[in-house]
Amino acid sequence: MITVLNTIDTGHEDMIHDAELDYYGLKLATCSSDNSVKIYDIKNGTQTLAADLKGHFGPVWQVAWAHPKYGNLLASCSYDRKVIIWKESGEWTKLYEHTGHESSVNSVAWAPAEYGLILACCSSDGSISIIQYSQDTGNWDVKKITGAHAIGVNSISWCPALSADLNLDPLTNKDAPKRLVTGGCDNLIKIWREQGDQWVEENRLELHIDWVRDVAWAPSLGLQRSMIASCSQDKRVVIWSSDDNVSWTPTILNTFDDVVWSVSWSLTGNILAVSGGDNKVSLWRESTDGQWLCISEVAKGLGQTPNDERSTL
Amino acid sequence: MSVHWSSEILKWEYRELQATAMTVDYTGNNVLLAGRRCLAIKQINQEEDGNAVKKYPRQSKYDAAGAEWCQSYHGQKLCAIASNQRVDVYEWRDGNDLTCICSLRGHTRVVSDTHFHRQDHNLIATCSIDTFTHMWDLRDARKPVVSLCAVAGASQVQWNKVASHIVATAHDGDIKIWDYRKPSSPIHYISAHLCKIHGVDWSPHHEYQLVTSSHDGSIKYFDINNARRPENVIMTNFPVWRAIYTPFGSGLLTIGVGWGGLPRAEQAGVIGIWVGGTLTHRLVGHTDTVQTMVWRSNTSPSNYQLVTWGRDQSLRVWAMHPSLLKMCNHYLPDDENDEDNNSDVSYASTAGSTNDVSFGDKGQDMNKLPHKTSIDEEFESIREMANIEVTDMNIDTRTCQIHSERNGYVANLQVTFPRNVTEQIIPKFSWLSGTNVDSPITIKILQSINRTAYRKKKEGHRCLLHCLKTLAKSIDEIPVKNDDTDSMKSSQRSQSECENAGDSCIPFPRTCGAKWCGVSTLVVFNRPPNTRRLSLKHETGTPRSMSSLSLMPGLFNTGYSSVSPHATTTPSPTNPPGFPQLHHKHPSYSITTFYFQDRWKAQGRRAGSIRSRGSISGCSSPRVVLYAATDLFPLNRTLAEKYVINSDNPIDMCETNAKVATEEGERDLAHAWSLAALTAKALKAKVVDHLTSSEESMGWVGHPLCCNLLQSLISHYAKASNVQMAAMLACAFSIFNETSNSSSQSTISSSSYGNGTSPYSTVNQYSEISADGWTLPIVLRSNSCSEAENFYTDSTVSKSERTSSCVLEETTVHSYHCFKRVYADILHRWQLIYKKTEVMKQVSGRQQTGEVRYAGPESLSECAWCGAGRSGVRCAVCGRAALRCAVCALAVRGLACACAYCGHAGHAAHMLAWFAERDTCPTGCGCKCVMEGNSGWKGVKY
Repeated sequence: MITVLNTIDTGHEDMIHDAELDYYGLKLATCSSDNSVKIYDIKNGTQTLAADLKGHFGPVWQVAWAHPKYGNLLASCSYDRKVIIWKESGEWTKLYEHTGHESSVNSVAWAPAEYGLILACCSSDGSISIIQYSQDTGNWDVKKITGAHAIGVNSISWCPALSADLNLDPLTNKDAPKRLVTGGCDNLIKIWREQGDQWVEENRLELHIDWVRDVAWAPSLGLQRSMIASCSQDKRVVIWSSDDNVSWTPTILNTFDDVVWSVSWSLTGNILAVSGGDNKVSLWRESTDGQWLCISEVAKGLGQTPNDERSTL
Repeated sequence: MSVHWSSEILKWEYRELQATAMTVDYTGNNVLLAGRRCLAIKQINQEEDGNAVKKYPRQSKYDAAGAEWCQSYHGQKLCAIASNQRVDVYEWRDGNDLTCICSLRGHTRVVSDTHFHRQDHNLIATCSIDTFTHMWDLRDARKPVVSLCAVAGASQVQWNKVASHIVATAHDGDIKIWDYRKPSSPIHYISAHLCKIHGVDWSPHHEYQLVTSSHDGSIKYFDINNARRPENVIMTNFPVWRAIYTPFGSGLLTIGVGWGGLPRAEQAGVIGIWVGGTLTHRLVGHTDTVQTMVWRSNTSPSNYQLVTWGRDQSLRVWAMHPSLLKMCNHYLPDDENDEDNNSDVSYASTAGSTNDVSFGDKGQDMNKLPHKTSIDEEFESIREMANIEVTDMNIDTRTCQIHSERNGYVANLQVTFPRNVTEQIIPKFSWLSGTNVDSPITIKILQSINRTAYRKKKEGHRCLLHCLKTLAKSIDEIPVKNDDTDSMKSSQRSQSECENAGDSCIPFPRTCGAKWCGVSTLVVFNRPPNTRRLSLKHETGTPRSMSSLSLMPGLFNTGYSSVSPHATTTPSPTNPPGFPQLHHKHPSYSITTFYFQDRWKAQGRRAGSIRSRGSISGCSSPRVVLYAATDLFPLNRTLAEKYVINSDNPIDMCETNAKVATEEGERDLAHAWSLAALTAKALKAKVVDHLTSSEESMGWVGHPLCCNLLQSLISHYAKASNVQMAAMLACAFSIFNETSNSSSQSTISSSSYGNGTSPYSTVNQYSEISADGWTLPIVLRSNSCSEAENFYTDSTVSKSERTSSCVLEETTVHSYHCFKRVYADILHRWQLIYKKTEVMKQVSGRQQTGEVRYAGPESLSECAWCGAGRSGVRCAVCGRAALRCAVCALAVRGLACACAYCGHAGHAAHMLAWFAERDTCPTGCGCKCVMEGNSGWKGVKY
């Protein structure tokens, strides 16, 4: 059974494109086509507007919270080709603005906190930026992978730091190889690995026959198997699994009625939330025999009437 | 939307020339500057020349009003210079001799423009404010061969870039389109502007499209066959001197002039690049008005360059950024390196042919034969093609014309093969009149045709057939037109499409999504239920890119409302008035309208800026719903709070936790805990019976379930994603923190390699489990080499040995640590920080490295006695305790604290007592430690 915790009337003047809770689940950030980012404090089923961040000059596509050990940091990316990192210190202010892209920035993702304060973003200009905060200089260093995907990069996700590699200290994971997965308009999924101070393409996964809209690397429990979920304009969701991060085996989770826009893994990595153009959200879990089963479908128009607010497994 | 800018790649200044006109030749390498005193030719491909120009004196009391170099291959040595009523035609021989071959005298007033025919180098058109446009045959230059007469003086004359017989002239605010074979009257007459037209440019891709720029500050796109209203209008707030198409894609370049009462400095010298009706880029560098801009022709397609001459007497060369080309929907070959090489080749070849034209001619003649056959082959290849009609084919002009009609769309395409066919130069494709496909789509089709052509050329194949196949396929993919779309609607549609042309590579906005956040919260946002997606007849599913938003007919009723003067001409501090940033046509306006079509119609047609706001507020405002999905996960916060972690006493820990689980109603967990408690007891018993080794105490110890059971329990819970249970069980048995030593591991692995029929069942077991996907190897073995050998030979002995010490393989231990880490993270998210710390204490770091890993700031002080730097307690040099208390002057052995500012330290108690009364440093260094190093003292006070 899934129960409604909160229903937040965001007061955005236009469609919402992303919403995310922070690490503790106490702050909600939303972003919208009205060019603003809003932050709400969530407590016991109530919410108060904490900030209305205006700094973008185009629709804001995605928001991402950093790990709280770096303070309350929020990154947002927009059609206006900018990435803004907002910081709360008393009140919310702009901490850093990244303007290195020539087209809409479609996705932002913070690296696992173990690596330091690193943000990756990807743009329709086909490039990926990795922005790292340097503690020593107080600067943000930008590395760029140009020409990552032809036409454009739609989505980016980090490989978790926790890995089954025995040579890595489970306590810090600092030295785990950094990996990124991206999905683009060339219908490909690419896996990138940091080598020295370069990012190299480690793998490309081909199966989708239309633009890849979202990719998500499953959180790790420290087991050998890693998984990546991808979804595409071709209405399919694919789960890629690998035991060595080198050879990947695809499993088609499902073919949906409409294009699929986003995939999201639960913290323990066993439930996948899928949503798409048909305004529906569904949850999927892998059964013991490796089959992916839909365990819940959150019908469209949810949250409107009390009856709709509960959806059963 | 921000406007990017860039500056030139090359720059020269020639103040002494006082040139008033500039032109670039066919090869793109020679620039002619015309001044009153002299003509100068600059070779811009030769870096080593520096500022050098070849000068040719010219005696005239008039400035050169215009200069133009013939752009056809055969006429590449010819250039025309207009001054006053006369046009002088020069020939540049052998790269150094510039001689006047004829003067065209026929105009009675000042000549305003000249234009060589694009194919026939003997034909030149000149226009003048005496209202006449004359066409001259240079072989007989005594009088014009054709004269076109108008009422008003002509300011511009331009040959069509696709059709060879069409010419456009500008007369004040009007445009006349002529077929020079029928000089009596124009074939089209366009009332384009209310003010004088400064510039006319034909589309490089369409026979029937041109753009005009006027003193009234507007830039208008016209389809000459449907010229009652412009296809598209861009409003600026400055008089536009020139607006020219980009040779790639759908961009537009503009130059403004500072006449309109606006301060000249604000906009002088800035070249604006517009893509889809939006100013997206500026070329900044010229300090005064730019007089002429010319594309460097015949440089490689991926290397478009612009040459400009400004009133600041500087000549500049600009490169177009690849991103810009892409925004203009220009196809860029993927393999850029390859393309660069190619461009070098074409550079070299063209440069060679200029420097020694006669040699070039010979070379061309020799090359002609194979090329001709290649064109023949190309033409031959398409004769049989279905659905495509070849309407004209001309090997001399190297062109063919294609007619295709499908789904009610007519496509007329002209293919022009390049003169100097190297393997990789693709033919030029342009649209002819009669095509009824919307212009943004034509640009997209051209792009895909070009892509095909590049690919085929690269593979060394003929490309025409494949290009035409691409054409046919692209036309098939165009959505079938609605019958009720009248011409108004379709033209509006093309406008809005044009606006969003850059959005074709930006994914369609998400309006629905679900994200897992925190431990078990699902954040869901989606469209309100009363939204209804606009259904497009031809489309199934949601479109993929944002450009599709503008494909909806009838949505943008007000057409260019966002580009109305009100919206655009308001200068803001960020937008200098010179090139106002257009209030970008918000894609969101479209995304909202995409889902609110009905509302739209009901609310009627409002001004663009209001409507987006109106639409969404009319419905409920967008919502985000947080769902608690705790029941989906086997994680329980209450349990986490109540569980005890006490690895010193696993029996007690397991029993207590079993009780806790029972209280919470988690009976299966309670059962697991009690099983674990039994195991713990057995483990404890083991220590005792190790000495006695009595039969009955073997009960659990000797039982294979002792260790196996626990590990299966943990692996079971890990598999079920119950990290909480897995991690807690792992915490309970600190024995799991010990790993087998690596030497035994290597021995065993090598022995298992050596023997195919090894009785080493554990190896098989390992592989089975890993095949299942969850590698939780349960490999039990003894921890020394000798015992491993025993085990290998005698399984009964090894069995007892094995159970006596419960040592796990490294991978297992590692994964247990990982479980604990993940669980610690979950506890952190639940804000059970103490519990988190307790769990993290059970995660042991890697000890093999030998050194303590301490991540974080570390204080490094220098020894108080000998001055050597050190980081430990004891000085490495003199061996004494390194810290000396600043208050009592004795060595500090216990808790110390230091001022972060001056660095003086002391016993914590002494320092606290000292600073309770004073605020300066006890050493007398003058540091106001309490204020300066405040943050340092804070830690002590807690």
